[in-house]
Amino acid sequence: MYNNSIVSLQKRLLAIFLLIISIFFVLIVRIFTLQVIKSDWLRAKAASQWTRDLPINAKRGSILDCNGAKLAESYSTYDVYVRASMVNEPVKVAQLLSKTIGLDYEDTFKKVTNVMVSESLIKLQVENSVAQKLIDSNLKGIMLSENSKRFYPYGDLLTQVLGFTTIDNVGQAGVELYADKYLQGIKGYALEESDVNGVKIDNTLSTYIPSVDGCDVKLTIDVNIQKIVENALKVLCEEQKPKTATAIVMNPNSGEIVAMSSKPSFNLNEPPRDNVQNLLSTVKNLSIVDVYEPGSTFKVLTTATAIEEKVTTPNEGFYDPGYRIVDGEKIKCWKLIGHGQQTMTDGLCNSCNSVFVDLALRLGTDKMYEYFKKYGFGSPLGVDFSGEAGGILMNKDNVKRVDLARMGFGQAIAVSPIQLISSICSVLNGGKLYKPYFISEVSSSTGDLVARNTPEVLNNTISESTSATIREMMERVVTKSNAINAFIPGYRVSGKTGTSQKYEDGRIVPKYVSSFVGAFPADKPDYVVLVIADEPSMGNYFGSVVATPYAKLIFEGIINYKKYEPVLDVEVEKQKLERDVKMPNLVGLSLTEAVSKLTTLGLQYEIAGEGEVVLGQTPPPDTFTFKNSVVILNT
Amino acid sequence: MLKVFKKNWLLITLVFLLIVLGMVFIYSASSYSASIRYDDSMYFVKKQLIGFVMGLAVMIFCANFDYHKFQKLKWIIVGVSLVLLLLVFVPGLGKSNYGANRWITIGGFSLQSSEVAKFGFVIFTACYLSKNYKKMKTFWGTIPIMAVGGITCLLILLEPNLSVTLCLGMVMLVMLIIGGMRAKHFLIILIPAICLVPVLIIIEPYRLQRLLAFIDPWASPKEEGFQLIQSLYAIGSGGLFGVGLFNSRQKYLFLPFSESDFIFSIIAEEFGFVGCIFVLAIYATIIWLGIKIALRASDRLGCYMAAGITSVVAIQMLINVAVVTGSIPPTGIPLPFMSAGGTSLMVFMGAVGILLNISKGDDQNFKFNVFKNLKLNKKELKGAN
Repeated sequence: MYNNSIVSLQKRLLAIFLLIISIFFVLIVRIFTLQVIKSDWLRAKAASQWTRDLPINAKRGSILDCNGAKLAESYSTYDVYVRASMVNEPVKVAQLLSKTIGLDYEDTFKKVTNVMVSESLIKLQVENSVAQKLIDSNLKGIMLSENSKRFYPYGDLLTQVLGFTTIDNVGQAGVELYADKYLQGIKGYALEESDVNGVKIDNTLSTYIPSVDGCDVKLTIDVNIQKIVENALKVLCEEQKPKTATAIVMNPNSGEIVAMSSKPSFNLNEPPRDNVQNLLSTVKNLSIVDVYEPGSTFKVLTTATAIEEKVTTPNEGFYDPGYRIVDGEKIKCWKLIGHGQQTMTDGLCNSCNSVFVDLALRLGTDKMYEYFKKYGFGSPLGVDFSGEAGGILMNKDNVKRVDLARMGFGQAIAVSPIQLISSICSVLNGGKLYKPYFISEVSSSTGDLVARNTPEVLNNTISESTSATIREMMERVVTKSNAINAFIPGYRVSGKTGTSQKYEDGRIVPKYVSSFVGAFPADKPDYVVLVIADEPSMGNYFGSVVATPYAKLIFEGIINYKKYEPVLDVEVEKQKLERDVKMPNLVGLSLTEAVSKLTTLGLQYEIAGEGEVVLGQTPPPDTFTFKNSVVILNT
Repeated sequence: MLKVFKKNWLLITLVFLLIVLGMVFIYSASSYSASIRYDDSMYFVKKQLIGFVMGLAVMIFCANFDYHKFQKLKWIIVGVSLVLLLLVFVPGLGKSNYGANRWITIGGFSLQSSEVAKFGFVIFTACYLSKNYKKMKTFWGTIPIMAVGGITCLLILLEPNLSVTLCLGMVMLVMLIIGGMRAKHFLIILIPAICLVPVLIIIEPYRLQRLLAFIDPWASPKEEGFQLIQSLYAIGSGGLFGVGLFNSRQKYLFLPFSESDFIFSIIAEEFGFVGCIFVLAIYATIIWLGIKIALRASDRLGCYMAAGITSVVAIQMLINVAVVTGSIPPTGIPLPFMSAGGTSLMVFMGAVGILLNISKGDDQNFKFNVFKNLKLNKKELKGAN
């Protein structure tokens, strides 16, 4: 049935019109969906491409020493980008960039012509002079964004204290890390309406949020004293070749850290980033994050505790046969033949283990632990530095009498160097344990004070009178014993040496930690110094020889720098150090005979080995040595 | 002339309104890109004005050129169309753009052949149908239409210009329906046409990617999906009432071809949903007026020709809006009367001129009354019985 009349033609036309109108409605529904239902979603997505935000970098703050000397500062550099869509002479641009910055031409050309991305990074932190060349070229498409680079004027100084930043100026270690929130500042932004290529549209407002430069951080460190310390450690490392060496100078009356150094170290301007293992180990601030068995330096604290608790007096007599037997276990004194009859003070001078075994046992575990807590052992002190160690204390309930006896002379306990020096400060300054700190002030780039650290007393450890006694006793250790190597004619220096043998896998090994802690001036200390040499490898390991002479270098440096006047007659005092004693030949003698010979000559001595007969001596026979200096006897 | 204007004042007003609106939006959409690319913010507007002036001349000519004369010229028109399409491939004359040969340049003027060929086909078909409508019940009677349409489609496809090919294919379909082709004959041409789709995709794999981009443009926001996403951003940002004239943000090079194929997106952005409805209503009215002219035409030739012209406007406009709204796979086709493009404007204005000419015919015997005609139809049927 086929019909092609005018009427059916009209009907077909109407049908087609109706079809068209129905498609209209479908499209209107679609447009309604897009413009009304999905409108917000689409608009938000669209808006994100309409503006371009250019970060404005904030200048990182400086790190200053206590006198305002710059230890770390930032200077302006430029980050170079290329916007391919704006480049009209790609070959020229690529040539210029590769030549002035020193990049591969092919790679650069690829970036210059890559229009798939709005911007390609060419190089971060280009120096000012290079940036100027790029600006002078007047080529289109090269973008420069101001950035900054970190510079450490002193290079290899305060390595572990200052730390360093990433190439993006984020603090990675040391003060740079700890004070990052102050140093980094706040990034600013320039928001501008732009076309698809990021070109700003005329007659539109740009929002400009300026950056806030980072704050300056002022440290308690005195760079002059730091230099003295670094130099002393350098000499120590050359002469004693230890695995590591550490030194701290602290103000005992405030807890301010005046100088702090660890060796080996590296130049902060060129951190060995290629060798991560090396970087990680050398950037560790051993004074704060590491712990060690303090050994004999700890005897000062046992003495202070015992006198404070009135379980002894400086003049009480002790007899040392060369050992103590505690619970059936023999605890030897370093001088196997024994110190014989001696006072408590002599016991400290002689560093006689037996005396401190007695004192520890008299005090008992509870009292000892009570004082450990007061001295700040077993938990971090709260130094303004990341990763502070708390030290290792045995669980109090597991402490046997033998362990307690050992703790008396600084074994079976591990503390960090900063903990040890802080506790020593407290027993010298009248009994105040200060919280050690580096950061004294934080001030904004405009000079407003943002934060300030003031000395904070954490605990009262001992009384002023006990403290006065300890000061006298420690001075006596320097004038009358093996710590004579710290003696400076005309000045009053106090101190205590320490030598501890290392345990590895529960067994004693011939590796030593040699240390010295001392104060100056002895009667009213302004500076307390701790020097630690870990595993010296040149034969000597006694603290008196490996650490003390270098502490003396530090004291001398401070005396020079701070212009301390001598308080005693230098000439008279000098005689104590006169090189007028001719060394006798002691080899082959029994230890008792050798010691009595040295005592009559007015010489100090250390005994290496556990034999009864002298096999060797330093200095050798027939050489001249200082009165009061230390002779080492090998048995 | 005045009489024609009086009779068709609404059609003429609406067409001119679209052209003026189109120019305003061409300016809005292209002033930024044109000032960057050609250092002249009025670049596209000027070209459109030239197209308009020439279009006006063509329109006035066509309005006064008796459409019955096309009957004798139909083969010449087909010949000219095909020659124009072939010239595109002649080096020196053909202009390549975005990997396609779509334009021919003669003395500084460029012409898009397929725009002319579309209407050439419509005129030919109308002429053929008016003489041979009785033959349409046989399959062989439809062959000349399909042959001319097929060759034209093939040449446009070779440019390549898939969108105009599809558009022309649909116009051919509409013409065949109006012409009275039988349903079973449709299947004979529809089945191979559907089979052609996968073949086309295999020949040019980028078409498949485009197809996928339409389903989920955010899967490849930087490549295939980019243009569609940008179009959707523009439309979506418009909301109910739009961001205001000249305030488009997407025109800042985000939306490619914003002054031509994607001008509707900019209209949607600046005038919102309300503006879209307004523009679509104008198109719907124009289409209705075109259909009305076809229904009232004094003879079959006028009816077929008016219907063909109207369906070109309708199909092209619907495809364009469907593309920019992400309703069908993206393909580049201008929005009649509005998109920047001189040839397109000129040809569409000429087509309106033909519509006006058709409307001149005496319509007393052909009074438009659907219901009356439907009753008449029943009588006719009874009479036939």
